[in-house]
Amino acid sequence: MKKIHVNTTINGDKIDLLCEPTQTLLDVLRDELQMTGTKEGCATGDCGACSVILDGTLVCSCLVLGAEASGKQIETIEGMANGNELHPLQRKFIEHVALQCGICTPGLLVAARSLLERNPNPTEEEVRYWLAGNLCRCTGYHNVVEAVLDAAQEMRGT
Amino acid sequence: MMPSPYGTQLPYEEKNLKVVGTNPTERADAADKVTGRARYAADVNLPGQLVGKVLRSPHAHANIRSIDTSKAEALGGVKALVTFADFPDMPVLHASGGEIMINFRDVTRNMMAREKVLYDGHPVAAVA
Repeated sequence: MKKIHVNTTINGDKIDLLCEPTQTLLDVLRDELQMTGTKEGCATGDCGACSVILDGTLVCSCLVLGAEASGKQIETIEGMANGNELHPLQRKFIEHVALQCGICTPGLLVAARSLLERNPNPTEEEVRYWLAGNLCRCTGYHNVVEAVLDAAQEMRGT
Repeated sequence: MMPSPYGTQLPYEEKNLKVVGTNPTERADAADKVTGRARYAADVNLPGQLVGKVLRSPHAHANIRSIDTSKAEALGGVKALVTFADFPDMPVLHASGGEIMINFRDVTRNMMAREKVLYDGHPVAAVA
């Protein structure tokens, strides 16, 4: 089958690439672009490890076709830090020990970022429900929720 | 120092520590993990690496009469091929597996189908 020409913007950079029609956005990010920050946990849209932000919406990149990214803006974990300056969420995750093996961490960070972009003052319940799509086998989520709430407070300037 | 409530000989000391070690925020891997820079096994792609694939049974319950590997062996680029014949048959023998007991006979029939496939998806052969 003929490859598809995809013209997209990833973390602010314009990217041109060719991909198979059957490749998912996750495959494109990891295999074509070597952006391995986004992880494949289940490939069925259940675990959230592949979370990215597509045109402002939080999606599972394993459920989006690479071709669908054409003309759209994508934000991944690689775009969260500003060079060596970590995003408040990233700093708080480290401070609150909200990660152990770290495989769910990119997905959790992208999901938390998309939450705070629409709701800068979430309640603990709202954080837990928003992050329900991001599974973690290591931490038990408590430190993750604390980190997100703490980062939200810092980002509000309070 | 009060006597240990657990009845041991060692003196019991109250401590304020809640985590193992004193400074968990100094983990060397934390910055890499939160930025996505950390390389896990699945993130590594080396030139010349082999790709493995498992052939799984489409049948839920079936006897294996034979496995013909000749076509796969003849295919250029196939560097390795395994079926149950490449693994030793084990008797009923138990070993402690952490949280469960492992029965080696079960392992030899479950990891890869031996006389019988037991479920749709049961591995029958693997190539690399």
